[in-house]
This record gives sequence, structure tokens and C-alpha cells, in this order.
Amino acid sequence: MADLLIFGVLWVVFSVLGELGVSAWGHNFYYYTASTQALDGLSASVFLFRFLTPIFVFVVLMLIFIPLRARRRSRDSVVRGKGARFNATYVTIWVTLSLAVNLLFFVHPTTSAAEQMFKEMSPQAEQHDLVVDVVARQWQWFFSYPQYGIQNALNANGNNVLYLPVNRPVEFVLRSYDPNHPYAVGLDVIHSFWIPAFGEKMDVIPGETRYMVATPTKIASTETNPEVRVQCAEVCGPGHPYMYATVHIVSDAAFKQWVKQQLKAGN
Amino acid sequence: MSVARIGDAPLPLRKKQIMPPVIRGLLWAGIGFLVVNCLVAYLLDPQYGDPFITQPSVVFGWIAATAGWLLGIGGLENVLLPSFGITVTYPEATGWRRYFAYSTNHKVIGIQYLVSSTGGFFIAGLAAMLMRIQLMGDHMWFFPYAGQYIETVGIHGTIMMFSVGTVALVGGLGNYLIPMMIGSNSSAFPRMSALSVWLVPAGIMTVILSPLLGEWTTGWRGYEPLAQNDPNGILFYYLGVLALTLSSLMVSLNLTTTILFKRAKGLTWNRLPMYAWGILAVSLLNIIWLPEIEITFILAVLDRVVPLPFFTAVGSPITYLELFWLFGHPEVYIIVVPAFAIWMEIMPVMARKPLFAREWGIIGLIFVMMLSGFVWAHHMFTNMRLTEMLPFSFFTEMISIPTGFAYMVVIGTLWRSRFRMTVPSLFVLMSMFNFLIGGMTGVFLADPVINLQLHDTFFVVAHFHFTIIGGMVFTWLAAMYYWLPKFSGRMYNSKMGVLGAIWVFIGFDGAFSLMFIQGLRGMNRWVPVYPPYLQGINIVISIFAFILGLGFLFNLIHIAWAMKSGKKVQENPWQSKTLEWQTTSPPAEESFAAAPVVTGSFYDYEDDDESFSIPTTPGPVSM
Amino acid sequence: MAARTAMGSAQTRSDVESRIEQRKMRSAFAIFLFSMSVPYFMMINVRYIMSGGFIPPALDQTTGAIQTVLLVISLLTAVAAVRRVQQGDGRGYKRMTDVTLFLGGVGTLMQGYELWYHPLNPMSHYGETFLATVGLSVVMGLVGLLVLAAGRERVKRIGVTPERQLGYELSSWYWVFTVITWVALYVELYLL
Repeated sequence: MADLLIFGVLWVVFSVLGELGVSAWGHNFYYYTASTQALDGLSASVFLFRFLTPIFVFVVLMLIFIPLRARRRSRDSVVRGKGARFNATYVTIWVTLSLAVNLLFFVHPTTSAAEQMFKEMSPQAEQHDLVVDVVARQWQWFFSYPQYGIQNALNANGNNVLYLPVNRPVEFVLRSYDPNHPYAVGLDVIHSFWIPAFGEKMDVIPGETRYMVATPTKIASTETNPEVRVQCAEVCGPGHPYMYATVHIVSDAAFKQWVKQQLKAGN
Repeated sequence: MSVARIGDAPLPLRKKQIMPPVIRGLLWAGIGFLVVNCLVAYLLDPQYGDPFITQPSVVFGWIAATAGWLLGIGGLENVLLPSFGITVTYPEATGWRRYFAYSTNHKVIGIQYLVSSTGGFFIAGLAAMLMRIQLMGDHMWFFPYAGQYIETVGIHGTIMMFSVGTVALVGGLGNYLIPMMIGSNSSAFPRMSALSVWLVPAGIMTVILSPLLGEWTTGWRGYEPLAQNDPNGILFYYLGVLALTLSSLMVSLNLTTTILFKRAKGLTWNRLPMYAWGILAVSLLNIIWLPEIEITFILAVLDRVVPLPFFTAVGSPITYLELFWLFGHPEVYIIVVPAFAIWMEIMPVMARKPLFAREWGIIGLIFVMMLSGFVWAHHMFTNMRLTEMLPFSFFTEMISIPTGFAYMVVIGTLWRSRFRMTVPSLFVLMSMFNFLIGGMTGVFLADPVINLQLHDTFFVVAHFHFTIIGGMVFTWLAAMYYWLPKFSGRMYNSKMGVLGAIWVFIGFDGAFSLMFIQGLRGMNRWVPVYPPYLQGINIVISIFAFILGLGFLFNLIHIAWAMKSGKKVQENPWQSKTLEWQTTSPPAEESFAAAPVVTGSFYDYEDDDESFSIPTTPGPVSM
Repeated sequence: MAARTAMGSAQTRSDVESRIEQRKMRSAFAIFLFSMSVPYFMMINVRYIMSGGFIPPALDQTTGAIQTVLLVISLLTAVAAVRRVQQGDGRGYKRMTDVTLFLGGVGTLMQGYELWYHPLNPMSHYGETFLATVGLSVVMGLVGLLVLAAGRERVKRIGVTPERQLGYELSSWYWVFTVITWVALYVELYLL
């Protein structure tokens, strides 16, 4: 009984400390968020942290507490341990709780957050989106803006660049082929379109078209924070580490300005 | 008929044995490769410019080499010729030589598997060290080309998964211990496992030699269609994995039959040791899923050699991904289920208490086994249809419930016990702690929305190393220390053992817990080059990784030293009740002189000191 | 052979033990066949994933039908060989196995012929699955023929004894398994 009491007190104390830790640092889990999708993922993570902390504390405390309490004092004689070979209460609580927690996690945040994502990606929600055609090849990203007539967005150095207006939903249309060798349909491989600050990625698969939706929330760029960059996340050959592009999230006016400049440059 | 008796006549046999089996195997493998390779490359399928190595020639050459290796090591005299009705005398090697020869003794085979696995572990570990050296800089500085780094990642992963993860606890400890644990003197098919063990070094060598054919860059998963565009080294990846999985498949057939039919009298299903349950569950997974991945890899080989368009960009690359992970996720449980079983094997002995809620432990093992076939697509949230996500997410979350039963059983066993803090129990506790972190982070990865951020980052790398190193390798070390007196009759030095445990724990948790943070900060996988802001944390991780590597080396040396010259101990130093401890340590050629009879549970430690008797000679056991 | 030594010689083995031994062999064989059927399930699945239910008109239905008939007859002779060996008739087993080897060899050769002169473009989705599936069957068939040939040689050299009987039976049953899986593949590839 004393064991149980001491353990219970320790468990509550450490769990409370853990929860305080989650409140203080939990929102840093995603380091840098620049889209509503990243914020959704972050809040789902913090919810999971809240529930997992007492469970984690319980098991770890058990793994440390029992051996310390129960360590045999004399090393030579074999003394039998006390305690049951089955305890219906303990097993029932364990099984019920683990089932309940997992079902809860499946309902929220898994399904709720996924439904949110499905809704954002539904055709109705994408009526007024900015469409960016993304083409991946070994090993380069191409961005074009069909609504504005920009064929291939380039910066002053001639590198591929992605410009996005802040607070406007963007629909990325993802394809994998080599625009320079359109006759070789079997040439390209799976890539993965990832902007770390946006909190999501989507694989780009040869022969298929995939979509990704994001709403940028901050004015930022690769120069201000390197997590705002397009990075290929799926291994795609020796050039894989070099397959990234710079991203600029700018104000609406600056975006219009940039579009004009791109068109003038004939991109 | 009996070889041992013929071996008493020394002279004619000594004349007959001209070459050590390993040397003969290597020679025949070399000859087989050269002959068939030249045959295909120059006569059957000559290609433009008459290259010495072509894709078909190297595949057929490899098959001939493997056949030559197996026949040369003793398969010719012991398997092939007898099956045609030709009896040949084959001198059985003695002493240390038997470990380098064809042997039907399950204990010798177990040690052979363990040694091959350990070799694979340190070779792949060396590859990991090379990776960590490269990652200390944010640009190419150690490897000249990025492809070489990515290939090193692939070799590391392939060897670790297929020659260590699935082999050490099943082929190694399983072959050694399972027949003894169920009171039998041999496994069901000793000749099959005598040959299967030699596929492991062949597979490891194949994967290591793959750079000879060109650097493949797919990592251990061989993702299509990249594998089709890669240089030919990928062929040796497929073939090496084929050899290793074939070996595991044979082990599983053998051990399943052993457990089903070679049990001692009185060893009912209710009394079957937990480790035997674990091996049974794993074997069933192997029997279903290993042929599946073998055929997938053969299709991938055909894609290159014929060529067919199955998984190319004009075929269906996603089908390869599905087929790979259909095996790939059960694979993870193939690795950790025996580890769970070993926790439940060691802990009651150390706790001097009956195993708590034994039935629930078994239910856990079996449900993990069954559910593991329903979760594969959680590796593919970034490339599947949205509508397919939720079922896989559901099963992935649910599989944590039966996994948790292992914790429930162990914690229940420890509660109010007389726990002995020994090196094996320390390793088991560390393993449980690390696997817990692996499991908890798995909850985040099971959630599709969070997964879209974490997938393919170092967060995933850290997660699966916590489950595999934390779950399996730590348990492997626990098992090696626990059964060390069994293998050798000697005991480790407990101070050195504790030092080794803490050393490995600090290295491991330091390196891999930082990888979680690194992944969250935007470090993706398979990159030798990364943005400069990540360099600081990479250097720290590398330092911890080097500590970890040295720690494993320390434990290896310590175990090897203890086996050779540790302090001699009594035969059953842990006062364990399971059958393998009721034999001499190290066990004699025939473990049990008389067939043992089981009359009680192996996990009752409730009796008093006086009535706990350990038979000093192998024979009928009464409990 | 050392395995036999470990188990004790056949004479001292009691009746119960030999029955357990028999059951062990049969069960292990069943598990083995279960494991071996996974590739066939997979290939059937892969076919429907890749090319749906399409069957090209260029397919050589005659060769397919003839080889299937030959293999089915070889199945019958393999079963007959099992009957012979159960009666302890080693010579009869050898005769029946000879017939099985001949018919099975011709059937497998015809499958090989179809692989060689395939009328279908291997770059088409049906063509690729056809090649891979028939190839699987040919490889398994060659293994089965090798096992049969080994049994035939063994019976010629050693003859049938009670404890060796099962080995002969199982090598014939393995051929039966090969043929049954081929019939399934035939129905799937040529008819469905």
C-alpha cells in the first residue's frame, strides 16, 4: 500500500511538471510555422503531448521506481517476491485506458485534423486559390503560374524561385517529369515537395498529378528563415541533397510587382 | 550410416579432407561465378562492346556463386548427393573448426548465426560512423560524391535490417535456445538450418560488394522508379536481400516445426516458454511476408534485366511502394516481437516472481503479429489518396495496445518483487525505456496531418532507431549477458557490464534524441549536404554516435573476453527454471542425456528457497 | 545424415515417436506449401493491379491448353506414384515418376517455349505480368522436376523403407502442388 501511495504521489508530481513543460515549450514543437496547415499540425501535436505526458511519466517512473524499491538487499539468498500473478483491476484499467486513449486519439486529433485537411483540399474550397504548377525533375524544381502567364519563375541569378502572396490559399499542382526531355517519359523518379515551415509535404510521382494546399501566414523568405525553403524530401538520386529552391512569402502588392517584373523578363 | 562412428577411423578420412569447407566454398563460388558469368556475357546474351559484366550475367553468375558456396561448404556431400541416394562419408569437423563448417548441431548453428549477425552489425555500424563523419560538415568533405554517401546509408540500412534485426534474435538465439527451452536435443530440420546459416555471410558479402557494380542511391527500401535509373549496384542489393531473407525463411520453417513437434513430454501450450511464443509469432510473420518481398525483389530484378516496365515511371511505381511496405511493416515486428518475449523471459527470473498475466503477454504477441499486416501504408501518407489514410492511421494507433501488453506484463511482474539489478535486467529496463520513446513518437507519426510534416525527416530516423536499437539491440545485449553463462559456463564482470550498459545508453539516447529535434528543425533524410544552420546539432549528434559505436565495441570485447576467460560460475547462476538452464553450461553435445519431463510452470518463483532445486545433471526435471 | 544419428536409429524408435515424426514432416510440408503459395497470390494480385481483367487475343491458347492438359495428367501419375510408394512398391514408384518426369518436363518445356516466343509485347502491362507469372511457374516447375528426379534416383539406389517412404511421397506431392498452382495461373492468365 505504501508503495502505491508513494508511486501515486510521484506520478502526479512528475505529470504536473511535465504538463507545465508542455505548456511552456509545446508550441515550439514545429520550430517555425508559416502556414495555417503547420498551425493545425502543431495544435494536434500539443494535444497529443498533453495526453502522452502522464502515460510516459507512468511507465518511466515504474521502470525506475520499482527496481529501486524492490532491489534485493542481500545478494546471495534467493528470496521469493511477493505479489500476485494476476490482478484483474490492474489489467482491466490498463486495457480499458489504452483502448480509450487510442480511440480518443483516433477521433481527435487524427480524424478531426484530417477532416480539416480534406476540406481544405476539396474542389469547393479551392475556387479562389492561387495555382502554382510545380514540376520536379532530377534534380530541380520548376514553378509556373498559369493564372498570370508566368512560364518559369526565375530570380535575378536565373535560379528557380517560388513567390507566394501572404494570407492567400495556394494550390500546388505537383508533377514529376523532365520539361527539357519531354520525349523520355520513363525518365523521372519520385520526389517529395516539402516546405518545412508549411508543416506538410506531398510526394511527386511520375505519371500522376498530386495536389497540396497551403495558406501562408507570415511574410518571410529563405533568407530570413532557412525553414522557408522548398526541399526535396524523398531520396531521388545523388543530386537529392541539392534539390532545393528559395521561397519568398511577400505582401499582395509586392507579389503583383513581382509578377509584372517576371512577365517583363519574359519568364 | 552414422558419420560420427565412421569418423573414428582416422586415416582414410584425413586423406579425403583436402580443403577447409569455407575455402572450398569460396573457391567453388568463384568458379561458379566466372563460368556462368562468362557463359551469359559472351555466349548466351552478348551485348554491344562485349562487356565482361552485364546485368543478366551478373544475376546468373551470382546464383551460380551462391549455389557453389552452399555446395562447397558441405551441401554437396550432406544434402545434394544423399537426396539422390548417394551416400558419401563426410568427416565432421571438431573443435573450433566445426564453427567454420557444415554442422547439424543446433548450438553450433546458433553461434554461427550470432557471429555472422555480429559481423554484419559492426560492418553496418562502421558505415554509420562514416555517415556521421560526413554529416559533421554541411558540404561534401569526407565523401567525394553525394551518391557515395547515400549508398553508404543504403548498405547500413540493408545489412542492419536483414542480417541483424531479423537474424540475431531468431536465427541466432532462436536456433541455440529454442530446442533446449522445449527440452529437445535437436531442431526439426537440422540439415536445412546447417545450410541456411551460410546464406547469411553470402548475403552480407553481396550487399557489401554492391559498390563494385556502381553506387545505388535508394536507401534500404529500393524505391522505384529510382532503382530502375540507378547504376547496377542495386542488383546486388536485391540479390543480397534475397539470400538473407531465404535464410530467415528457412529458420522460421525449422523453428515453427521444432516448437510444434519437438516439445518435451508435459510441455503443454499452457507451459510453453514466452520466448517460444515470440519465435512462433515471428515465424508466422516470416512465413507469410518473406516470400512476398522476395517476389517483389525478383520483379524489380526482372524490371532491370529483361527489362519489364512493372515499377518504372510508365508502370506503377506506387505498386512497388505498396508491395515493399506490405512486407516492410511486419518486418519491424519481426524485429521487436522476439525482444518483447525476451523481456518476459528475463524479468521473472530477475524479479523472483511468477510472470504476471502471462496470457495477456501471449495475446499481446499474437495481436501484434496479426495487426502488423494492416498498417503498412502509414509509411506512405505522403503519396496515397486522402481517402485511404484514415484506416491505416486507425490500425497504426490500435497496434500500440497489444504492444503495451508487454509493458503491462513486465511492470506487473516487477511490482513488489525481489528484483535483482543485474546487467541483463539493466539492459532490459533500458530497452523498455527506449522502446517506449520509440512508441510514443510513433503516435505522432501515426497522425496523418503531423506525419505530413515529420515524414522523411530525421524525426523518423530517430523514431525507428529508438524502436529497433532501443527495442531489439538493447534486448540482444541483455540476452547475450543473460545467457553468457549458458554459452560458456563463465560470468561477465559486472562492473564492466554496468559500464558497458551506461556507455551505450548515453551514446544512444544522446545521439538519437537530438535527431528528433534536428528533424523538427527541417533536416531531411539521405542528405550529406544541408543548410548551414543545422551544422551545430549535427556535430553534437556525431560525437554521441562515435561514443555509441565505441560502446558497442566495448561490449563486444567484454562479452568475448568473458566467454573465454571470465570467472567460472555454477551451471544455473540465475536460478532460472526454464529448461535450457537444466543442462550443463556450456551444454554437452546432446543437451539432455535423458528426455526431460515437464511437470509445472517455468515461471513460478513462489516456492521457498529450500524446495527450489536445480538438477545438477541433465535428466528428468521435476518441478 | 547426422540428423538421423541425433534422433536415434530407426529400430529403437517406438511406434509413437515415428508417428510424431510423420506428423511433423507432413505439417512442416503444409507450412512450407502455405509459404510457397504466397508468391502465386501475389502474382495474381499484381496482374489485376497492372492490367485488370484484360486478355489479349494474340495469346497462344492452344499451347497453353496442351501444356495444362499434359501437366494435369502428370499430376495424376504423381498421385499414382504416391499410391505405389505407400504399398512399398519402389519399382512402381519409379515407373510412375518416369511418366511424371516426362509429361512434366514436356509441359514445362512448352511453358519455356511460350516465354521464348512470347507473342505479346513485354512493355505492355499484360505482357509483363504474363512473362513474370509464367516465369515463376517455370522456375517452380524446374525445382519440382529436380525434386522428382532426386526421388527417382534415390528409389533406384536405396529403395523404399518405412522411414524413407514419406520422403518419396512428399516429393510427389510437391509436384502436385506445382501443377495445381499452374492450373490456377492458367485459369487466371488465359481464361478469366
